[in-house]
Amino acid sequence: MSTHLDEKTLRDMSVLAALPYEPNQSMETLAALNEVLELVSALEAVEVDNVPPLAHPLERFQSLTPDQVTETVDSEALSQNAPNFEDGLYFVPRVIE
Amino acid sequence: MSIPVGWQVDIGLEIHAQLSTQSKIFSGASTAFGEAPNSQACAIDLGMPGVLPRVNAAVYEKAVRFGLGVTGTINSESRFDRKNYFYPDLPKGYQITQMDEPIVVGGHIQITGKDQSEKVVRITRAHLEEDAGKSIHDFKPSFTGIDLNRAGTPLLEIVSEPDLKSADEAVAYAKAIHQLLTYLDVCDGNMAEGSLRFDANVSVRPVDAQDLGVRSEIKNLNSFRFLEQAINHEVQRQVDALTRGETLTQDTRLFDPDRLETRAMRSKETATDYRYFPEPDLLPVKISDAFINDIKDNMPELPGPRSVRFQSEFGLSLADAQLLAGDRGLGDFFEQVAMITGNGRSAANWVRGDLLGKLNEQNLNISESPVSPDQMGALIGLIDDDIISGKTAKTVFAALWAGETTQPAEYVKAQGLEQVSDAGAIEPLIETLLAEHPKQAEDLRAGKDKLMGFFVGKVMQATGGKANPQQVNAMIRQKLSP
Amino acid sequence: MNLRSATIAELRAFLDRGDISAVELTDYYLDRIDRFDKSLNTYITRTADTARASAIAADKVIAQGKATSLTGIPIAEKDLFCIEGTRTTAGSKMLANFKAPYTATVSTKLANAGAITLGKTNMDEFAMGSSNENSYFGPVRNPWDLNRVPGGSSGGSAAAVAAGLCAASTGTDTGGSIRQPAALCGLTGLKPTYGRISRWGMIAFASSLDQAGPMTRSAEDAAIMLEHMAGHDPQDSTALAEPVPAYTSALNNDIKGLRIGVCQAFFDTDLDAEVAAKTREALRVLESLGAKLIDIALPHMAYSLGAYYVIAPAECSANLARFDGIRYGYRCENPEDLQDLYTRSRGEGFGQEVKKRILVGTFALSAGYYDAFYGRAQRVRRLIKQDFVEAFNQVDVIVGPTTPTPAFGIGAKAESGVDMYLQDIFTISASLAGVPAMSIPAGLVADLPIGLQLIGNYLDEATLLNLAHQFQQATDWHTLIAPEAP
Repeated sequence: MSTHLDEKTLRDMSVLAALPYEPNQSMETLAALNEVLELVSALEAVEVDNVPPLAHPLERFQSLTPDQVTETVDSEALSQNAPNFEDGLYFVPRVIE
Repeated sequence: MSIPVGWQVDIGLEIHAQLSTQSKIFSGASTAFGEAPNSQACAIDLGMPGVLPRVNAAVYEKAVRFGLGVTGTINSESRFDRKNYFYPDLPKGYQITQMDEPIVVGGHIQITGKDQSEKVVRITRAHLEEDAGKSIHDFKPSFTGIDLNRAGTPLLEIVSEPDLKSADEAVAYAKAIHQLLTYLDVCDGNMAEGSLRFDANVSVRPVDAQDLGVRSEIKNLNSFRFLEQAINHEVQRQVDALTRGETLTQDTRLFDPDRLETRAMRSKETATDYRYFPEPDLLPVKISDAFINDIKDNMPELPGPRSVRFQSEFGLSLADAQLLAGDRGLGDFFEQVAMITGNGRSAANWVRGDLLGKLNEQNLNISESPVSPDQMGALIGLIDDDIISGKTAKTVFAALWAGETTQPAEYVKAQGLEQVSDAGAIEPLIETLLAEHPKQAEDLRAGKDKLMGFFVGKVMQATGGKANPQQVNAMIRQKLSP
Repeated sequence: MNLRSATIAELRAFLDRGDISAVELTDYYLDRIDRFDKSLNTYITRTADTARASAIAADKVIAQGKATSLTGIPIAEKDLFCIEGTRTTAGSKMLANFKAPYTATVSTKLANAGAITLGKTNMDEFAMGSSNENSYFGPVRNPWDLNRVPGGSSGGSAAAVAAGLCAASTGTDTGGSIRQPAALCGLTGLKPTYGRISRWGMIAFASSLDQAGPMTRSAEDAAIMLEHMAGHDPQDSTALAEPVPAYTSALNNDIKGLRIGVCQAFFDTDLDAEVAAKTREALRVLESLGAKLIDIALPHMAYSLGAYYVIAPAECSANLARFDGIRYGYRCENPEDLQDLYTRSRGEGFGQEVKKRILVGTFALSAGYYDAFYGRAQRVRRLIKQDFVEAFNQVDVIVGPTTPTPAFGIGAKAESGVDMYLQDIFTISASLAGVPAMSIPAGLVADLPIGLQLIGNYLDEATLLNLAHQFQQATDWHTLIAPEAP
């Protein structure tokens, strides 16, 4: 596939992925990503027009769970790894909507 | 607010209805409202590493019920997708939703306008997804607190076509959906707890324009009033901008009810590449015909048809029929009373009047009524059998409500409330009265019919309300007749 | 009583006869860890105290005559499995101090069977890698040659078993992460059918590919481990409900007439000539045991690497979005605002390879590219699956090499990303199709072990284990001792 990432796309992808975009490293990152895309470009040779996508190796169906409260929530244990947890809340820098 | 002259408005609504389940859509944590922050969010709801979702059967049952209620198509195979975006109230960094293969496709619902005009609104689709947590901005300066209790609460997102042409129609549609959801026990309909929230897609165009205008999406409106206000202000904003010659851009907005204006959102929904893809932690859901048929067989009669039937079968007015059929419990109550008494109109009068009045006064639901349909039926039976007067019946109803009795007939007997139907006892009273008021008696004889009330009232007074007013009426006429 | 080379099956006999207690056996391994792990770096976390406590309990169970096949057997767990009370790092700075308040189903099952957990093993960060060089906790060294990699991503689990620092271990395999390190360390490693083992509590890399499995000294040991690890789990919707067969009782079935598929595509490209020769030699052994070799075609195998490097990064880009520095995990110092919190926490908490794959996956799913990348890869995935379905109409097992070469030098491929990806060129197609596959030792090339890959039909782990066991009855490659950990 002659699809190659450019710096702008890399920046856009970084924003979507919440990863830092560092212009001084961008050439190196781009080269690495484009190498992967090159590898992937082999897929272009495959005739797939009439092939439905396969999302999951097991073509099976979901089983449904009865509507019952089965969890007792130990919020102390669940929040033990939180970097900023006070008064029952997880805190982040102020969000402006 | 009316639509500015020369413009027409197109509105589509996305209604997010929380499903009234015990547990969450993808976990076994409770959906209870109003608990301490983060006390209802289990490891799955928190998106901890290594945890996996499962699917609550009740969400499918409720979604199918809604789908049947709007005559939509139930997809026997549906699937979950991931919608990717970062936001602190979205623990996994993606929302599990149904993008490509939703459970319900198509459907419609009838709405009644303020002028009683009727209109059919098309429903595009309804899909299942998980709710996000809540951000709390005023707890700690320069920080936002995150409460994830709501994360994973099941939602049914109901998307309409842009068939709504005014804020009034949008509200009528929202109310019709609200009524249906609560009627079918799909959602508890509690607006104050956020059980129903609206996103409104609003655009305007000149009356002669063919294509829809550029739309704005106003997010997260949580009352019918805000829905109406937000749409009206947004319509005005768009018309003003276009009149000034500006070009509108598609955007996402929030409504500020204090300032009565909408403003563009700064975050969250601005990056719009959600990169949907099939949720690999869940398999496609296949629901059998048996599952659907079972729900179909247990579907209650819906408000629309029921209202029509109430009018034809019990001779109710449109207004009474709509009111009683609009709430499932109230309709059931009414119908039981009407069956017992064989008197639909008087059943409707009592249920809609005295009973509903008392329930509303004490903020009670019909299911909490201290007076049962059997008691109500027995009470109306006593009136119909001329054992008590309508006035006495109100006393008996009060006693039933207060729990002083459970048997209207016994109560009437014990309290000596039976009507005096013995002509011999009433006749002398009438004769005395006519004699005491000769002027009025003469006028009545001459055709001044409203004086009848004066004499009947006097007799009722004298008998302590126990006389039968119709009988008294007839006897007076007989006395005065030549 | 040779503990160094002992399999689970042999240790079982020692324990049951009272030749050694579980406590003594645990101390034996803990002592070896002290001696060898400074240089090998196979364990991220050791759990000596809980291990000794479990060993005391195990000895009581053994004394009561109630031992299972795993009671008192010391094992190691890949540090991708959450165990309550023990930190789980996934080999990442992001989770360097993370303690899960729940335990992976696999770990619960193994503990309930009486296995003793000695600790959590080193791995490529979030299971992304084929050399174990992508670990925040440093590279693992191969006990056959300390200058070489053990393979990855389950490199710590592989090296620990090969060095005698545990009797067996758990691994996870997304594109070859059990089979490739098993091959490079001279072990038996099994990736079961997708869904055979619950993924609950196993930190996700690519959900539709990830599968846990055992890493052991023999096929018999793999059968013992799998009997305890496999099974339905209401907490994993993708875990299969089919009953778990008694794999150990099928090990000695006659393989006469068993149809073995040989696919020329495995031998055509990139395969080291000596590895190819050893693979053919192993095929002749199987033939001598009565198996029939049949040529088969897997026409789309050449595209498996391309499909994998779209699907796995796409899934990982979403799976790793939860690491945002809010509820757990690494958080950057003094974030200026929310965006800064996200990008610096993730930028500093994730290593290069992880970030690279997240970006590739984000791109593959992005508007305008989804159809050409993710959509196409999913369609190719169906073709790859169909190849296997058709092949298994003709044969019972497909046999070929596990890796193109024996273990390579530490640092040899670190800088060139895609060259590393070629390590998994033979293992990825089974992952995409979801069929079971295993690697067993097939000899030495330049004094380094190489692996023979056996690929089976859906849920037919029993035939794979049977075939592998019969091969191991006829050969002794699996009994060789890694020279750097005698």
